[in-house]
Amino acid sequence: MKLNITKEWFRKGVHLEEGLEIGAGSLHTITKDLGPGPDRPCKMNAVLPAVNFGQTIALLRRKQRWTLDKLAEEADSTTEELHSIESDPNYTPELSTVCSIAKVFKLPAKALIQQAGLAETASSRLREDNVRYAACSSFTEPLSEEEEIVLRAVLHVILETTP
Amino acid sequence: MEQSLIYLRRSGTTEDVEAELWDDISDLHLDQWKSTWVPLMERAEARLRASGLPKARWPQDFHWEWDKKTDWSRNLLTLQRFAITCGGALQGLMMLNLTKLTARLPSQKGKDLAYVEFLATAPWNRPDIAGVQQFTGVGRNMMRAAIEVSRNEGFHGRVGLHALSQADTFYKDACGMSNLGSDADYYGLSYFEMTAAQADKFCH
Repeated sequence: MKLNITKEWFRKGVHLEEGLEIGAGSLHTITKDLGPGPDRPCKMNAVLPAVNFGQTIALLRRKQRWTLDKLAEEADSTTEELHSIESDPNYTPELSTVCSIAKVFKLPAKALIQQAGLAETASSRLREDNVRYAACSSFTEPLSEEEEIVLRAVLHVILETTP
Repeated sequence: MEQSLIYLRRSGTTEDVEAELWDDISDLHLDQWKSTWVPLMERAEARLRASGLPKARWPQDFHWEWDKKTDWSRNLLTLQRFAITCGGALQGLMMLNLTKLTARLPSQKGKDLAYVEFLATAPWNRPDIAGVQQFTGVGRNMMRAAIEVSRNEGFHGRVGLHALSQADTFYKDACGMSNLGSDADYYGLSYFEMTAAQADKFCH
């Protein structure tokens, strides 16, 4: 696609941009296996991912009926960071954030740190637990019955593997 | 991949220099992103962390991974990518989605538009990252490209986007877009929309 952009046109308005930020974006992290969010339609037949750290946090948050903003406030984090944690399986969260989240949800930090992949001694059971769940609810909806079951199973694993 | 001749302005001067607008993001662009943008963003992040500035006031695109975004979008015909280079350096990146949203303004509600999925300029063009701005005009050129894509698709220049919170002024004042306010479905970001008439005015 070839564009015809003249210097005269450019000069007409470029001064209005001086000193301004121009970033735009939906803040949704793009990954192929990202679960449906507000802008991603649910595909009921999609292959369901194993529960990872981010999905655990999403379930815990939604159990409380909290928005990302609310969790960010409680955990002294940011909406963007938490969104990355929840939606991007490859995202590496900061240790301090994981500890804060553990405190907020009254969970053992060590287990969450392991599940987040921040500890060398990560429990294979936490890492590879193949509990599966339907990630087809939007971010702020209450948990479905199935998700409640999954969350209980995940918490059981987390608490069981913590000395 | 085609390139168009465009211009960028050396900030703080009236000197306009030739630059290139590419109608795709190439592997070379991604290499440049990784080797030049990422280290500066990481340094800026470390600096902000040390300063104690609340995270809520940090730039919201610190964690954007353009390599993943590009990989994801390459198989989707409804997504179009753009890059701007100048002096051999990567100056800006943008991704458009032609099917994501329809217009929300009452005057054009439900009509197709080009949605700006992501738009960013190089760290050295960002006052909040570098403290100074090397080049100005990435935003103006990218918005022009978005409008032209919209026109080519028969959308008459209609464009929609969610502005990162530090960028509202640019889209309102420099682009003349309508601010439809905070969008709870998009983490409270302001949603901006451009009508065909606003696009005509911007391109005039």
